[in-house]
Amino acid sequence: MKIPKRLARWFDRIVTWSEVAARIWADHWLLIIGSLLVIGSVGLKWVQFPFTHDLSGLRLSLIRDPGVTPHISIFATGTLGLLLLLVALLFWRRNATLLALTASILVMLWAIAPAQIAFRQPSVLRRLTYELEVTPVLNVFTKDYLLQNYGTPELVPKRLVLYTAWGRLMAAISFMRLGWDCFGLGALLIGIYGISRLPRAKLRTTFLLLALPVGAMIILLIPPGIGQHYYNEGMLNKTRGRNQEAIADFRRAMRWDRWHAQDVDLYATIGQLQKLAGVSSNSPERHIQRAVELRQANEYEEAIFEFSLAADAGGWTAYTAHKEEAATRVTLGLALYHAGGIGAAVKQWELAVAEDPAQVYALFYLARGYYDIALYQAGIAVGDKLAPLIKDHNYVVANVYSLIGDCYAKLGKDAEARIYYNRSLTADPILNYWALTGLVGE
Amino acid sequence: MEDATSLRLTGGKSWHWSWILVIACGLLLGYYVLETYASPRHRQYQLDFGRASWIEPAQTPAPIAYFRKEIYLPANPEQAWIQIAASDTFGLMVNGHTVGTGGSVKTFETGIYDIKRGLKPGTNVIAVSVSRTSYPGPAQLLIRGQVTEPGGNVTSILSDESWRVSNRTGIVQGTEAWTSQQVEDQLWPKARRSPLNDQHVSLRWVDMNPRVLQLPLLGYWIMAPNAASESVFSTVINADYTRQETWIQVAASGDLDLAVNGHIVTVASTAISGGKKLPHLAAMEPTPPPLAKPGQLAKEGFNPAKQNQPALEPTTLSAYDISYWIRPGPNVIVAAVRSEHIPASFFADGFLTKPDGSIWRFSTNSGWVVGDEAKATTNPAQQHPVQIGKAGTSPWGYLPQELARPMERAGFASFFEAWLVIGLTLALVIALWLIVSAIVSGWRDEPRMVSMARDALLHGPIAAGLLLLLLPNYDPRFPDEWSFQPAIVVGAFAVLLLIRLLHLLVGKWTPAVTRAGFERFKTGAQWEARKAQARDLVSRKLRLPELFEIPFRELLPYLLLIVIVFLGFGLRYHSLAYMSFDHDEMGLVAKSKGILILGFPYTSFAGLIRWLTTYEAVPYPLALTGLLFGYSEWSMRLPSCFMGTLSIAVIGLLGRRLFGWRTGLFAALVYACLPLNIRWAQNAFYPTQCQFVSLLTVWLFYEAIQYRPFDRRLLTAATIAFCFTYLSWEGTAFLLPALVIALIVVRWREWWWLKDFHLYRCLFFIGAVVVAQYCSRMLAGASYLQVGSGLSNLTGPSLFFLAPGYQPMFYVDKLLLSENHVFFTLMIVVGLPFCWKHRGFRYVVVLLATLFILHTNFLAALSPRYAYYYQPYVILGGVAATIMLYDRLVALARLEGDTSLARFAAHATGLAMLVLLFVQSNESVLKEYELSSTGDTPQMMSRLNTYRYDYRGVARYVMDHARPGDVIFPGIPHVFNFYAGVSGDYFLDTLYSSKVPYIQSLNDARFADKFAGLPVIRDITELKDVVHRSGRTWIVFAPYASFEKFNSPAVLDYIHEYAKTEFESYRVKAFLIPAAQPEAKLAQTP
Repeated sequence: MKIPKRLARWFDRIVTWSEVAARIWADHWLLIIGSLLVIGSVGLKWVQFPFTHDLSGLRLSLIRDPGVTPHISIFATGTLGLLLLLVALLFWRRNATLLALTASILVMLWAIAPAQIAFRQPSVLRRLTYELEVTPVLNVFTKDYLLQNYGTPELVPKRLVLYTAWGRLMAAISFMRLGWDCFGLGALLIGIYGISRLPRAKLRTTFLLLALPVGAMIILLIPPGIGQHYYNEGMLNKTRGRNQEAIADFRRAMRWDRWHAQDVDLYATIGQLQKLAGVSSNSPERHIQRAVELRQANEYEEAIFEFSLAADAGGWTAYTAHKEEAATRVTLGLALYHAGGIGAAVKQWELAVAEDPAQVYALFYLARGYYDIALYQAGIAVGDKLAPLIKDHNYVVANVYSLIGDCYAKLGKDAEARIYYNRSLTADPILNYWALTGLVGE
Repeated sequence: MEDATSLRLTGGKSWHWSWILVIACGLLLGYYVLETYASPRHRQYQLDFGRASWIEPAQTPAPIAYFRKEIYLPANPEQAWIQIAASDTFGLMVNGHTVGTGGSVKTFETGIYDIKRGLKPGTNVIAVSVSRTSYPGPAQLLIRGQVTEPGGNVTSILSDESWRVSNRTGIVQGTEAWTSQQVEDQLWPKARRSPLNDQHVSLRWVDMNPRVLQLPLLGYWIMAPNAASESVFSTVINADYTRQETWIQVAASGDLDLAVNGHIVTVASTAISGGKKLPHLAAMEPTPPPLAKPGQLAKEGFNPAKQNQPALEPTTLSAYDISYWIRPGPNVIVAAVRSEHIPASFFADGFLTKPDGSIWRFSTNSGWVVGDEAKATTNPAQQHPVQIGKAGTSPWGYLPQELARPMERAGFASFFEAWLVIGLTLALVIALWLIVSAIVSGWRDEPRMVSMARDALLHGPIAAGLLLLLLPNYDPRFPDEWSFQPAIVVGAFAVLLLIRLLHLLVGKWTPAVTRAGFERFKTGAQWEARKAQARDLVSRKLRLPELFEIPFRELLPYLLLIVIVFLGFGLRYHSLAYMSFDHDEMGLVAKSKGILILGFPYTSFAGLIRWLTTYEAVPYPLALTGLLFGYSEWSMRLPSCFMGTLSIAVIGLLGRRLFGWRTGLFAALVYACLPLNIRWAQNAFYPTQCQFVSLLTVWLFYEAIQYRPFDRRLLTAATIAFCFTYLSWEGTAFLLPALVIALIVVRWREWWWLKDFHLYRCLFFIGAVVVAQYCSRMLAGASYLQVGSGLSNLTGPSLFFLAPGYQPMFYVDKLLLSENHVFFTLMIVVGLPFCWKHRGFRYVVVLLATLFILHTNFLAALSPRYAYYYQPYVILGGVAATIMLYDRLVALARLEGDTSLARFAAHATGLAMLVLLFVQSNESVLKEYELSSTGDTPQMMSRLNTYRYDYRGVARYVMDHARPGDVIFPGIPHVFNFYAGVSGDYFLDTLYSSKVPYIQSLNDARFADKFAGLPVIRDITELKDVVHRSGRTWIVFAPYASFEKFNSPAVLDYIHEYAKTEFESYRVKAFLIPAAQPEAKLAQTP
């Protein structure tokens, strides 16, 4: 077979380019793979939320709680890592150390990400552990509906120990996902490449560069370590019956570790110790302790009132009290719903969502509540709001679509209902009984 | 091919290897010291069953059995405990309430439970369901218990022939549960003594000291003299030594905090969950009456149990193992109790175990101190509590006892402590090494490097021995902490010191002396004569060298491989037909019959031909053996058995080509005996064939890329083998990119092959096959309507790592760290730095890593069998790394001067590592069931003699007992049809759990099952309709768990309410719903 000349020329060019590319690959494959991993990690999920949005490296803020509806942040771990890498790639030929230093910073960002969640943003860790329980709750509101046959990460129950700083760090690591893994691996490969290119003193430079992530971790670990010490001391003093010392220790633990500062049970414990000591009868902790007791006794309205009194204290106490107040409203709503007061239940859920937007799962109840009291349009609106928040969870989002489909069916809008049932089937085609029966009109 | 250059060691590298050996030994010893002294594990205990006998049902088959025993009690018991051992899985129920469960695969599971909460005055029923997954043998049970009545009257519960047992719950007439007291168990068959009584049976160990439940409680409830609602109590107990075994059981009238020597033991109740529980709506209930005002009923009516709530919170006696915090001399125990509205009261009972096995008991009484100031000596100023009453005192009564989890010890401090202990041990070992080497160097007047290398080699056998000693910890027949005993640690240190005395023998124990000894041994054993005889047999009588045209020495490895292959064949052929077909096997067997008719695999469905759209190449061997031997379990599994056996040979030869004969033979031996491979070779489904042809592909491809340019014939052969692999299971398409990446890595910095035109021809051919297969699949699926979905919906790779179901650790758990693969994976990781330069190792590891990454991230379905086709590379890689490590040690010994001592140490280490690999890879010596990573659960195919689904038993039972007019729901119709000869009548699929086509071509268009075209019952109404129209209804649930999962709750409730379980076996049940209307009269002959 005769090959046309033009084609042969192109073939030669491709071969030349391929050889050049192959040479570059052979010389810099560690850097190429490492950079690709870091760049790819930025868009992948770093943190696996059991229910709501998964956070990518673009959204996992270093500075503040990413919230329920995370948005792209300039101070996100992945963004910073990416910018650093780009700068290093531009200038690394001028200074061989620059690349190794960048890798060291990337490793530091990678290492501190779970520590950041465990110690600097405990609300994120609290939400992560909180959402672990969401899945069984949600199925209550669905029809006979089963999980996908290939399972979900939540199928393996996590055994989390949250009362120690070490346990919280391990818990945070257990939620880290592919983006974080890729970022770390990429940083490591770039580091190996950078160090291999250093002209001299490789071992010494490596140890020097390692000091950066190690130092950052130590700085992050010191406050919770001190907090843990005071917490243990407080527990020991409590066991010895030295209530005043225990209270003082618990307060110190709260100052050093935000986890404790947002822990309603620790406030309640302090309140109980104050009660037994006969002091501070009107303190915020006493209000929280009373609220917790009332909530346990199903006296929800009084509990909400006590939480609102505690919220007047300001600071983390108010923050915690507000969160608990919203959670109590959700529970009250469920109690009312059970008792047949669906309208009142819906009102409580509306208030809960207004007070604490992190109560995303209340939206599910709200959607169902609107459906039950024939506010189908409102149900559709809540469903449409909920779907993007949980878009990564096929089977949950399929349920939301099916519920919206039910609402449209009740409104007599069969075409829209069919669209949503089909969306539900698209989201989760396996064993989606709800959508299938909806489509056939049962 | 042996890469000689990679084994050549320079002086500098030998220096490194000395360090590596010493550091490995130091780290292992450090780990032992840590686990034995610094942070010991919780103790485990073996239960003593005394005079109790193993019992079993007399009926057959009985892999599942229900045991019952009635006992009469005149009053509520003071103490009652039961300990149980059963084959595989059990559920212990007392008066219908589940008290304890245990489950495992192929283990005698045990448990000890407090049962007083479930007992009551009158007749009580102890019921145990035992379900077995292993075979042969029925469900077996061993029980010992004791009930102590308040007057001290003791009733023993021992398993013996007086127990009743049935192999099905359908034996119970009426609607009562089989565990009910209303059931007349006189109608049940009696249990018989099991042959197990004459054997030694190894039982699983338990976490709780049985004495906790068995000892009578001596303590008193105590409270402060002022009856305060908050009180602190303390006492001092004396221990003989650090961490002396100490247990304490505690109960309190309110919140309890317990500390031992200033360490908190109890976890604050709120701290466990982080303080929160999500609000949870339980089940929908009927709407209650309207409310007077919103919120009122929420308070009063939300919790119906509230009205009947007792005045006191139910209290439990929680048992804690506090040994970890015990130190020699006085130990202070402090407990704080905080109650609401009532005096703070406290109860404790505990004991210390003395070295001779006796115990010293302590408990709450007036000798305790109010406050936390308890001292070893009596202080008259101290305030003492008031004794309220003994255990059982009102209002608490006799408390239920349970094992509690103490506060987590892990923390930053324990983390650093662990590394400190390991680091110090390592430093000690290194220091010893340097000192001894310096002394020996001076004494022998030899270079320091030589003595250091020799001394380092002596660490090898110790490190390998310590690794071997770890293995029993992962065998359920041994306690978890078996190897962490002071005797072993002290022994290891003693050996580490004493082994240095061997330096004294270096001058005497020379290679010449060794050779002379060996010669003496050969003379004594008439070695030459025997060798001549063997040579005569092989060379002259069998004429094998002549036959193969190679000398005897070169023939020997082949003979060994043949022996291994025969061993493997024997293991695979044994019990080949014992198990019933499962549904996966049956699908391919049914399709293979089409080959004999039309020449391609298909089944006929509603008049249409449905050809096979996956595993296309698998039914052909089945059709061949079916044609030759007829259709049976034996004949259908024969191809798998042969291919599994041939895989042994392929692994041996591939190992030889990649690494050398030693690796090939040892890998073949491991593969031949590995339970996973034996099990799949006894199964007619696709994995064995897929693995076999993929091995051929990998081998041929490796051979092809050895040459420049590539060998065309071998590349073509590899292409054809790949196509067969792909047509055995299309998920193996990932092999293609894996081979390309392996090529890049093996031919590093070489790109000439990009211009090899034949490579593109082969790729084009593969592409054509893939496209053709895909088209065939699409065409087959388009011709009918259907609902439901299945795995066949997954038509190709996807970005699975973005999906919520993504599980990055799945194949780590199921393949790399599953019970028989752990050390192979470990050796691959250890071997990466020093074996990477070896071309064969790179090839194997890159293949393995690429396939693992691709399957984890791009295949949206997860199953352990999907990784089966690349499992041999875990074995090959692990064995190769071990043998290369062995070679490094031998090379180090040569550099050292090749003394007999150094060679002995190197060979001992290497051989011990190989023994370790072999022992952990199969069940012959140790059963390493707990070596798997925590995320793994035992798989049905990973252990020998575990039964999958007894379709055969259930089908035959139903056909033997069905009467004319009975309606049959066969479960999986084609398997039922094979064993029963009929397809059944209906198919139950109420959640559209499997694909159900809608057949318009039938006279009455309907949903019909895809196997036999049976009408599909889609909901409870249709089911009731069928039941009411028929005589009796048989419903086969096989596999049972899937039917429970994939049918609607209404249908399941209906079946459980109206049907009797008539037959039960391995994961199958047959239910019978009696006639809802008078049975149809049969035609009478005059």
